[in-house]
Amino acid sequence: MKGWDERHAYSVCLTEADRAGMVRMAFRTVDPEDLDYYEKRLQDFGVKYEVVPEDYRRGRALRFMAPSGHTVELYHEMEYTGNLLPAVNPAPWPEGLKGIGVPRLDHTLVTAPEPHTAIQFFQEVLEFRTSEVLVSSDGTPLAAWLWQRPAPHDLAIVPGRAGGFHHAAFVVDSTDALFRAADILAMHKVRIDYGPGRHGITRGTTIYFFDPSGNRLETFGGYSAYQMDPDSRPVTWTQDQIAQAVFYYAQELNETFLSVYT
Amino acid sequence: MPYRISRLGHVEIRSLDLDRDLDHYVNVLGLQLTGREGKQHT
Repeated sequence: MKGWDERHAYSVCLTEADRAGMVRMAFRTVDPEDLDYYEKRLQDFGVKYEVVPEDYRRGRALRFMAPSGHTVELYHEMEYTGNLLPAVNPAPWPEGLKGIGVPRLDHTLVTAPEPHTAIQFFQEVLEFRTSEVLVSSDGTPLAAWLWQRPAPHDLAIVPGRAGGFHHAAFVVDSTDALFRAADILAMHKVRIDYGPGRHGITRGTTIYFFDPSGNRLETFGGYSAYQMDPDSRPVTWTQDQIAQAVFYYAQELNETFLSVYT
Repeated sequence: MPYRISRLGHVEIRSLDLDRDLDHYVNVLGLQLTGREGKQHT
């Protein structure tokens, strides 16, 4: 599956299993040569990896386990299908979308038992930049928001079980779309975890909700977030402000945020 | 430092009931179903 404005074959794969959670996250490189670059880095850092020659409508990938316990893949080639609009003289959006009609997958947030180790891995080996970091009273990173696109985050890591899947987020591109998304979730009796609201971290608007298997999903309003410059330095949040960092208006965490994930 | 990763390309998510969850992802979230293979693929 994919959002209507995504140009490659898919961004979400559902696989039937006996428990909920994440099978893998896969990052697409800018150029084919970047895959070779990362293969060299994995070797230099002594990270064990396997080369997956091809997968469903996708070319070669490097697959490895991050210290957070997640299977991560890097790939470049994927079948180019175009979005739902014509490539010549397109309309701004396609008619006939179902439900919320999200345009794109935005980011994922996962859990790690030693978040600082996992954060360091993505920063050093995969060269993710850091937009925001939540630190404990002694300055240790407890959670970080990491980016490759000039957006607040492509990946975030918070404390929790190894391999844990906190959520995957999809773009909504306006405040109108945010409230329309909330309406549609409520119409379909979807269990809303939080929102509509705003994050302190990233400034993005949010609705958290659960798929029927219990995986948390998010509509993320990056339109209210900021753009990163290549040399932007991280914003720091202190642990005593975690509630407002996560839920800016509520100013308190709900019961589920740190405890319920797959 | 050049940009070498363009985006989170895809996530694979476990489903306890594929037909039920597909309905959620396609009709509520509004994703486009672009393919389906058997019950599982690796």
